Amino acid sequence: MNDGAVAESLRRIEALIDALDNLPDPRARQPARALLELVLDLHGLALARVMALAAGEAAPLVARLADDPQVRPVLLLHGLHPDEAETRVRNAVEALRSPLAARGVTVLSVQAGASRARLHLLPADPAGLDAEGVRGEIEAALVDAAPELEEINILGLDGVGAESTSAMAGVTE
Amino acid sequence: MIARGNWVRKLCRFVGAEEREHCDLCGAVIPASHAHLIEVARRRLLCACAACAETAGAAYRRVPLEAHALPGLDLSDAEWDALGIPIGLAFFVHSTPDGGPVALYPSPAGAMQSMLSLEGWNDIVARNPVLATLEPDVEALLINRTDGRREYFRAPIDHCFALTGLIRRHWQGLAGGSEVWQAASHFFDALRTGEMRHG
Repeated sequence: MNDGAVAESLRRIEALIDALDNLPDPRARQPARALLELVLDLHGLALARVMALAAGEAAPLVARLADDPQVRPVLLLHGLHPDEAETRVRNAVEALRSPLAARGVTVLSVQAGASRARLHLLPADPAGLDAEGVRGEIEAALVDAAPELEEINILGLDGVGAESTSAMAGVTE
Repeated sequence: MIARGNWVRKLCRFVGAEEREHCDLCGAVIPASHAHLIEVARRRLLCACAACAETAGAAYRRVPLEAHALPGLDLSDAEWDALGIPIGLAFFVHSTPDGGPVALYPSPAGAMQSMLSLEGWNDIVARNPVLATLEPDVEALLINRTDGRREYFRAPIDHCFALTGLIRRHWQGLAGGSEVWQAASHFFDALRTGEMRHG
């Protein structure tokens, strides 16, 4: 399975969960849920054991597994990735800083937790900015780093937020 | 809420979710197997907790639990044709708000009501006295004449609504498509073997 196929599988997972959630009969969902739970448990426990063994051998092996495009999503799914969501979100934001700066957008602050991320941005020219495009890029990068996120707040992109964010920036400066 | 990409969150939420049903009268969480009531005036089906099912007033009737086959029912093809039902499925129930028997049949748009000649119906009831014992509003004569069958059931009205929902969901094109008739066939298989689950 190549990286594209992995990405496609993840998209299919979302689509199938949606389809199951939209079944009109709750009884049809129950066996799917029970089956999924069992299979996930089976793999999660086995994988936890693999990671524990890898950690005992040599630290670089854990890092290689965590970075492997095929292994990484499964570690994320089972909560076995060595980096916390917060760390992954912060690293993703760091990687976004220079492409955002190239578009005249400064990242003022990042708050990250296990299920929520909040970014304050300061665009140099809010009126000339493709705000939805920037929002989409940031969200895509953050859920890629932390697909367990429940909520992403991006402040400062729209006119009102930009003013309040600028005001806050003024206070902190 | 994130629209796309947070697949881990969505998967975990799905696996961890519990299907909960609520009493339509008091809002209490109720088990998967629970009583159904009919709100007589609106012919509306309600899920009820045990307490509400006991104490609901005269505006509601409790739906019986079991369906029974009526193998000896006497209904000629000419009588059936005279009823003017466009598909091979129909259910007949004494309706308190309508003041008499009504004929309903499943359609892609839900349950359709057909005009019923009282005279013709009275003849059928006279020859089949069991029909006079059906509980008004909550118990129906369910007829299956699909696939050349001549099957009759004394069926709780929620079963008839379930069949109607099944037909609406699976109907395709003008004639319904094979999927809808297969779904109906599974419904009657379950009804015959008494495996129809209540709830």
